[in-house]
Amino acid sequence: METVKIYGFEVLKYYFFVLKNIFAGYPWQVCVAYGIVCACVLTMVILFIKFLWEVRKNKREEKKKKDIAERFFDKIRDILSAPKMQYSEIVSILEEDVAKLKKNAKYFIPILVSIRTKLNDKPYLPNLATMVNILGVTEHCEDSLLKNDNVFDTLQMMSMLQLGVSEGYLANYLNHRDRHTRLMARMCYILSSEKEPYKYLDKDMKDYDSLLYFIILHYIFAFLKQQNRKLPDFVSLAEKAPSDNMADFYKKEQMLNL
Amino acid sequence: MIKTLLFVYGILIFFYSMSLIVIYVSLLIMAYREQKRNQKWEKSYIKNMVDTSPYSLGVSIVAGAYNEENTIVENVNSLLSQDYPLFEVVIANDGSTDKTLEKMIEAFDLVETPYDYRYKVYCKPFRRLFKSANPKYANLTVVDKENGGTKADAINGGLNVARYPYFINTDADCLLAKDAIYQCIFPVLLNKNVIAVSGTMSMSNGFKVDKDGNIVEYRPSSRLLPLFQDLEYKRSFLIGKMGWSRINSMPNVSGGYGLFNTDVVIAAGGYSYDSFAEDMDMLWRMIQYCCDFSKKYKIVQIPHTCCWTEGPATLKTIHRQRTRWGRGLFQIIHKFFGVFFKKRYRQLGMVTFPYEFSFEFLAPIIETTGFLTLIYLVLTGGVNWQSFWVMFFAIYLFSAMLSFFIILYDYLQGGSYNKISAYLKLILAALLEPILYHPLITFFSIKGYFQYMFNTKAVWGNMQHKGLGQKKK
Repeated sequence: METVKIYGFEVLKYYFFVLKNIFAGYPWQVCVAYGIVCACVLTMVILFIKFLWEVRKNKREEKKKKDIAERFFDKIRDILSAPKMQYSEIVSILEEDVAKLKKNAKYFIPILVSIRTKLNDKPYLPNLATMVNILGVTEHCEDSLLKNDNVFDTLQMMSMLQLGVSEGYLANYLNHRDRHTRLMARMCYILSSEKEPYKYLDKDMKDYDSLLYFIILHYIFAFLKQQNRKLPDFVSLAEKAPSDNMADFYKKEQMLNL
Repeated sequence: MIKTLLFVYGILIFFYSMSLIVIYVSLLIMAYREQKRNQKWEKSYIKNMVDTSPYSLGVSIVAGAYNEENTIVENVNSLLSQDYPLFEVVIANDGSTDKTLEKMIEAFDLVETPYDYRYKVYCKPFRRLFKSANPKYANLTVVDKENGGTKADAINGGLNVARYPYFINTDADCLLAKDAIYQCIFPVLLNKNVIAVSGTMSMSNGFKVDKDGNIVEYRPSSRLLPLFQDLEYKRSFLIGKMGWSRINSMPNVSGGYGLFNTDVVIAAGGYSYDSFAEDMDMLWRMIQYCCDFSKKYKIVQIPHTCCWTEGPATLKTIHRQRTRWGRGLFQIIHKFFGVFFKKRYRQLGMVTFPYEFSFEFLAPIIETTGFLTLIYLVLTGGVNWQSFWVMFFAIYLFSAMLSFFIILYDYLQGGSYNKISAYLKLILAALLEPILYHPLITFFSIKGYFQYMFNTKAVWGNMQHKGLGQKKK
């Protein structure tokens, strides 16, 4: 029997040909069924590879996050719960080179957010700003916003950390087409802007009409009040509110912040 | 003539099967996108804010109890141990004839409390209301009512005293995850138009528990029936419902665990005591209510496992359950036929009902007629065996792939189980399911349809839960 040797791309072409003609002699229903099943199986394989890739990436990140949390969580919690400390004191407690800490800023953010949100009863933590500075959190967030990398996560973390950045970094997201990104950016704008923090609070007001945003706004207002920063005119906002829920929210905030 | 009929029938079935395959793959893609949308929120940190916020929403957990003296105390304790700042547990004792009520009175220091009971939704007459004298159980309320014979009646009894704007409908024998309330209320915090949230449910049949009743090992059952159901649940919640949730066309929020808007449920008339699928019936009436009154609505499925339940482990109990489901589906299709392709009922009329009718209700009928036709063709020598095996293998491969995918997905996401061997069991079940389990379920559904058509008396019966506390002995 005569044999033909095939190499390289020819091998793939051969298998494609075999696959294509495997049911060539069968009724058309069988061929269509075979085609659809192949397409479905291929879709599932692609989806599965995508899952696999994402889960592997997340697991690696989780491991690193866990290692850092094990080493620093308690120290950071103690520092954040303590009265005002000096920069050098904090660095000595952390027992790590500042440059190395800054390099791992993205792994410190969840630790800070977790502690900050757990110490929710204290609207102001005196050592948080210094800690954020040492760990290079602000630079990391600004970098993410600038490079459009993981923006929604960054904005969430910033609003929970009550962290302000230069207004310019938020400019691209204040009118973003995705509602949640837009609203989170506007929350961060309240924390960041010195001149006109509430510029966007009375714009597209119905977008804010969900309890989650009321909860976050309440959290931010409590922090701003503690910092003696200007609060919005709740009465005017209540008057402009598109729903009773929102009007009630602003009225309640007015009472709480009297 | 017969030959032409068979040819037309074959073509119709062919397109029907292919449409089903395309729908499943579309659901898979939509489920993936919904899952991505769900993951974008930093829920664990937001929870810290929700825990201390004055704007947190209150949630009532409403569960019916009928003759559950063996497990009621630990089940109520499990419901009370939720990690959420504002919730109450309402147990509706549905006229139990054993010591269910006495056990609760003793364990939770319950005392009879005068209460102006108002029938916001219909249920059998109220007898007494109990609150705990122990501050530790301040958020527990027990309603004692006459037996209504159905879960719907018991839940309505509890719903009449629920104080919060959202309630969770569950069974007293279900085991809830500690953060089950928070996971389900999150979509409501995000969107006020959410009227129902379905949490993912899983089987607890194979769980290993310590002497205090805590789960020490999550593992699937060694018996085939619960294993098949475990797979079925995973497929239904993580592919089916997640996918439908993406286009706001969820057909059902399980009666085992779901969060609902109290006002909408009451406005829609509460649970229907004469329905065999009270959960689906309730959801569809809620949607109808929203459409009739031009209200926006959204129904959401979350991927988080919120609840573990004990599935039927014997042929007898699964037969009873599935014939009831079959009967319930027929009843729903009959009752809601008016919404079929009615634009006014939005997704319910244009997507959910047509799908349920064509691919859930008709499927067992088509499968049975297909099987009978095959027997006829075998006897008359009309089968092209080569084509038959190709088609059979293609469909089998597709269904097995779908199950494998969901098993691997579950494993990679952190998983329901701790060991790989547990997943191997599920893979085995996935291989056997189309041959052993599926024909059985089809038969039970057909039997349920016949029972509905010929108005055979329904048997609700008790499933005889062993309960986690019983397993450890």
